[in-house]
Amino acid sequence: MNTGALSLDQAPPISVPWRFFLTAPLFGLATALVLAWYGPAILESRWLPASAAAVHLLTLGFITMVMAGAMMQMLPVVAGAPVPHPRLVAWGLHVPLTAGTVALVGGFLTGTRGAFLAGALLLATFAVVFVAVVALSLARAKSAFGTVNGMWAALIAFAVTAALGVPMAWSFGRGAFPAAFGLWRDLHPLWGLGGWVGLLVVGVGYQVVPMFQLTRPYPRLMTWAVAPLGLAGLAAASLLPGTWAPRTAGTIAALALAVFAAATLVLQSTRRRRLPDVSLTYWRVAMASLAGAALLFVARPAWPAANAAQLEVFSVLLAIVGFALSVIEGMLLKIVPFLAWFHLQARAGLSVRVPNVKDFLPDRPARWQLRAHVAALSLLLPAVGWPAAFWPAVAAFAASQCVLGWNLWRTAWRFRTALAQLG
Amino acid sequence: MSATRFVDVCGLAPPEPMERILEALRTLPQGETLRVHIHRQPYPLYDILAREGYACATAARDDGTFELTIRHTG
Repeated sequence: MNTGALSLDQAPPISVPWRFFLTAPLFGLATALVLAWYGPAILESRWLPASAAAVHLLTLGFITMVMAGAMMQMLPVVAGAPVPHPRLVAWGLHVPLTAGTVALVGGFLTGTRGAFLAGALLLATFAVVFVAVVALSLARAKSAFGTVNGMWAALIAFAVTAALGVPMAWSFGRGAFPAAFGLWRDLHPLWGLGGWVGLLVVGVGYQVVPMFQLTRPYPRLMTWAVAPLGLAGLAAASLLPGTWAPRTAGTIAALALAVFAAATLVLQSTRRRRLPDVSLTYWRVAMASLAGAALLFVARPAWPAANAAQLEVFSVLLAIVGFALSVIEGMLLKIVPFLAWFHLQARAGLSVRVPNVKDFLPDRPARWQLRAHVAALSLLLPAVGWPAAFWPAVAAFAASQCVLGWNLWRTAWRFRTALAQLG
Repeated sequence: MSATRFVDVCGLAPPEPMERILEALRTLPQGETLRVHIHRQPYPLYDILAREGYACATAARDDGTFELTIRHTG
């Protein structure tokens, strides 16, 4: 049973999660600019510095940015233990993450050593604060086992991702790249995308899919098994390189994520009320992409050598834009207007009528956001082998980030206006 | 015995159940009771009700849904 509850006393001030949510589309738009600046060649390999810049703008500036904000909101709810000094902690996370991402990306784009060093220091600061705060809260958690389980697994994966990434950025700054980092370069995205992003979505999905999409709950065995299997697979792949174990363990971890995606699609198809819902469609795109990316990973030994670099880029796009961005954008459409309504209602009391959730973010602009996102994804994926699709893809992606930003910022503005009217 | 109003919010996606319940309470005459049929426990609502001076009793039904009985304590 889901026992998470949003309590007025425990919910952080609305500015805590919002600063993260409202920043994300700016990094999305910056990604579109980097893509446009470097042209179709940026999709030829994931090892190009410009590709690394674009990937980190999205994984740190967008994905981690929103997930950190969402954790600040969800931890008190799930764990029942409010984050101490939430405004101060939010500053301590948001500033180093924003500045660290800009510095790291600047390092990739210009090759400036100082930018890499600054990026490494700032992102290390973010990682240490984030892991400490989240671990402290999760250690006090007493309820919502599947979600807490998934959050622990995701936090461990985040810590490993950072522990692999920060030293690499630091050594770029020192002008060196030790041979051992060859393996780290492969493990870093595996832990980041499969572990940090994948397992957190799994953990949160156990709560939000049944709650928001009115489905049956996930099978209990699944809520116990997916996160430990994923984590164990990643650990085995890292600790036993060069043996049969990484392949097998990686396959098990990828299949666990694919099973979660398939289960989510089945639950959604048998939900109680079949009303059209933008957020639900986002989730469906995300789950199809997750299953696709996981199965592509499993089939990696069978990839034709001539197309291996392209398939790698395709998988990364599927995982980042198809899976992570879809699920995050879908959830932002639910969470941001809900928080606006909830905080306003709490402030106003029952005697005053406040705008409802749809007044803060109506369906129409939400549908436009979904259309732009699906267009971007449908064009970006073929652009990997078909450069003619690249420019329309970049235009659609830039448009989708503009619509997302418009929707989020306008909701915030409407909240401020409504709050001012309360006096 | 006081008059009772009834609201069925079963199967509505969040936060519509909460919006409808609060709207119903806003127009509920003093002394009347609001009964609510809902598919899950509305945890965030309890906090708002307590702050606004309402008492709420929750009863689980056999079909897995819940019935809330809400009345003003003032």
